[in-house]
Amino acid sequence: MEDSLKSVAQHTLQYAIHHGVQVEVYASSQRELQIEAANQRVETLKEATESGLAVRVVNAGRLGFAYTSDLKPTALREAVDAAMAASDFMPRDEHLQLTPAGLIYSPLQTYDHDLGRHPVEEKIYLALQAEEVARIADRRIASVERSVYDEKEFEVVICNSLGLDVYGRGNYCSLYLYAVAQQDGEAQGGFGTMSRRRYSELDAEQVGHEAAERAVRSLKARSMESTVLPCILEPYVTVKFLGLLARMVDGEAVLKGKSLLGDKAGQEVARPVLSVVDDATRSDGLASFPFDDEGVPTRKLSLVEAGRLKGFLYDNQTAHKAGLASTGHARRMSYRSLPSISPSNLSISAGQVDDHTLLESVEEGLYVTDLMGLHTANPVSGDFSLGAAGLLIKNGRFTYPVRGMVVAGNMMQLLQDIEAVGNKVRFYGSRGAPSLRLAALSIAGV
Amino acid sequence: MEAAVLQRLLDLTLQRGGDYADIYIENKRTSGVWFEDHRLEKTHSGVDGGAGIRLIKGRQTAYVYSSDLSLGALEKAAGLAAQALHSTNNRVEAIPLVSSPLQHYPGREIHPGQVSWEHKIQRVLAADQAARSLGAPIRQVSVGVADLEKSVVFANSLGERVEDSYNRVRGMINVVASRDGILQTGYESIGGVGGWELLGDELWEDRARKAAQLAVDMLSARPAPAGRMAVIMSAEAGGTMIHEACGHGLEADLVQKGLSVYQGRKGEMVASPLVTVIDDPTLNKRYGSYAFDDEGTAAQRTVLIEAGRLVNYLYDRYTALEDHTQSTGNGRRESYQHKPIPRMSNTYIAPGQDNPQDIIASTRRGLLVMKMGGGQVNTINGDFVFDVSEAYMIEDGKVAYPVRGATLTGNGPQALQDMDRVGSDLGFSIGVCGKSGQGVPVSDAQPTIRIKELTVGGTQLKGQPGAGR
Repeated sequence: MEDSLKSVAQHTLQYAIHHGVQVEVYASSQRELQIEAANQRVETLKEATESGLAVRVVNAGRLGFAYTSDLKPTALREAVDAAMAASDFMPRDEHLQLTPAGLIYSPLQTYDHDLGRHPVEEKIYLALQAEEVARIADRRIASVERSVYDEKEFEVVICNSLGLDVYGRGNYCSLYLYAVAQQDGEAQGGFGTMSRRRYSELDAEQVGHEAAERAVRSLKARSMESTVLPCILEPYVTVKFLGLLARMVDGEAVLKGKSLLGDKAGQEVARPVLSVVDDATRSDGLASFPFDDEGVPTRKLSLVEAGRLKGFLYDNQTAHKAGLASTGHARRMSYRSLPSISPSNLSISAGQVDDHTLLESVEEGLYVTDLMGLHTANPVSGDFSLGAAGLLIKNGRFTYPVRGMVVAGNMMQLLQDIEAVGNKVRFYGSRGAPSLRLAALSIAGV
Repeated sequence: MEAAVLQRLLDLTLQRGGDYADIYIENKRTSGVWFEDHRLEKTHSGVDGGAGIRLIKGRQTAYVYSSDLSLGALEKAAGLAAQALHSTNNRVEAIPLVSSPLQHYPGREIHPGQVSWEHKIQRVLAADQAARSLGAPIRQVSVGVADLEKSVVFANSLGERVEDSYNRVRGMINVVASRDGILQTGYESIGGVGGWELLGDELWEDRARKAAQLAVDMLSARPAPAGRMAVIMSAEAGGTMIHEACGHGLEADLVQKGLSVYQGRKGEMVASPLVTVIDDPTLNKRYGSYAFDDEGTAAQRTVLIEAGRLVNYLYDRYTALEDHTQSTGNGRRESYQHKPIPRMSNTYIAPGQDNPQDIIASTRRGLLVMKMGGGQVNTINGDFVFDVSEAYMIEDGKVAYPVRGATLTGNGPQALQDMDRVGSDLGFSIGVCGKSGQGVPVSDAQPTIRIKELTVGGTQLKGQPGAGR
């Protein structure tokens, strides 16, 4: 596939260059295998192949964009023509910059040859095994909605009229399981998940146990009264907040005045216990790759260091506007979309306190295990008001589960309220975090 | 595509046994314009296509798709599907395909392919101007329009063959207003299955002004109070609540897997007798409308809850087999990259008897919701949370003052039981509904309704004064 992908990209590039414009071609191809099991058998087996190409022209400073999944020469030329036609109506933008050739890329191991060597039967077994583990983990587990094995393999070619020509490929695999627990007519769900760069590291047992535990511990939840309490956010919940933070360190949001952190570079935005890093060069990161989706080399970037805001994420265009260099954070959802800014492997660095000590340090508080509606939080004002569920803590121990609350606050205050950071980072996909203790969170109950 | 080729692909798929096979071939063209901060930010135009081949053996499904539509690639995909599941003795012969006429979804007066970039950009500028006509507080206006032309070829081993083509358009406007350090946003969207006539001049500019008005109005809103109270949802708020808090729980796959609070409750009273819930893809030009679903079944109107009684679920072919019933024509997929699953189309609570004004007048204290934001639902226990973008406090039967930052939490089945007034009006909202990683266009609607009591989670904490911030 590598050669054919490179040749369609080159064909498109050469055709576009004849129009006398600057041009960038992005071509990608993806293969996926997904096995969905339930009731001790495979329910769905999916195999997919998909390729496509996107072209960005910069026609005297004006952007044109088009894509195609049809890679025949006529379709490729039509895509260039479509991008050219649209560019005529766009305003000039001096900040539109293509990545130059000759940059240095970190050598990264992003492709596990082992993954393709294992037969499908073995991967089916992994999904079935995870299901079995969840099913027998506790007598209250009533069913497993689905147990999924998923693997993706992808390759990318980016070339442009400045002579840039890069190629890379990667793969990863995941397990996901959703279990339902039942007791006295009440049902609660829980998930377990694990994604790995290396096939040998997948652990079906852990995924099954985790889902069962999450489902069972939510049974018999009570409601609680409105109050303000110290909280512990478990890593899964912290990772959700990290998504909101990602939107606040987005260089484009900063330039447009849509980030509350925009004018706070160099200032203390959190207590010294908090550090946040984005690192596309981690050996085990799901988003690790030698270059971003404009072909810019990736590197480790400190965003918050001991409570102090260090910087923001940029792609070529926003970096040029800000008078800086791209940090290598241009991302495309697929060939169908223009690059935009997005973190790679974004994580809160491990702190000093182990989870047990963290729990013991709370006399009365809430251990938050789930948040609903985080995508509705307002990244401009930082305000959030979210459905929450959790476990009530009394004298440093879990008592009973609670649900149906609303936790409300503001992201800036939340950052200031982080007073202790757990010492174990857990990754969910490409985002990672430890447990956090918050001084106080406003909880609206019933 | 020729019937003989489709027939051959179905035969290849069934070569090692199976109960059912189908093939879905899709070609689409999309284009869009995005305008922000007085500037045309980006345009896109794209060509996307591929085929998905499905084989069902007993309770197992193989699904293979490819973006390569060459005959060689399709044959390879069919072969992969055949090999994906263990061979069985049970082998059905594909029934010879019956050719069916090409279906055009009725009404696309202005075909997207005939609309120039100039015109699209002009429409976007018009919306920007309409929003900015509200003056000083308007800080930012973002406007987007997008259109789609899609053609589909579907064939299955039951001898059914459907060729369908349609267009869809959508426009959205987001406005940020600011005063005294407070930022508020207003959002409106409009769209349907049809051509550019759906973004007709006046309607479109009205929407833009409405989004701007909302952002401005919310600037002087007080923080929402917290606590339990009566909630009136205006018809204008659209049917987000019924879609999320009830509709998903009636999708047969979730029901069959025990993930719905409505499992095993057909025939029972699950809502107030005032409540009737309907799913109807045959409504004219709505965002969730279609002539055929994405597995070749003709669209139909399905009553789900009739005067409070649960009468049906939403089925696709697969879940219908499991329950020994017929598909309700709700097998939908985002694209060739997905197998069809039961989905809603245009879902609504049927209008009732009450005058909407009387509902407000008869409420001593409560929250009047005019516009819903996003939300999330746990289908297993029915718990939901919704963001409210526009709301007013009702005091002594009168609309008293606007409030912001309200969140509604509650439980779907409980809320349906607690609906004690149902208005005679009906209002729609549109959206892209996500489930199992697939997004499909839907609309939802409701009349003005009152729910006796819900938990309102506000930004105003206990002991804080009601005004200012």
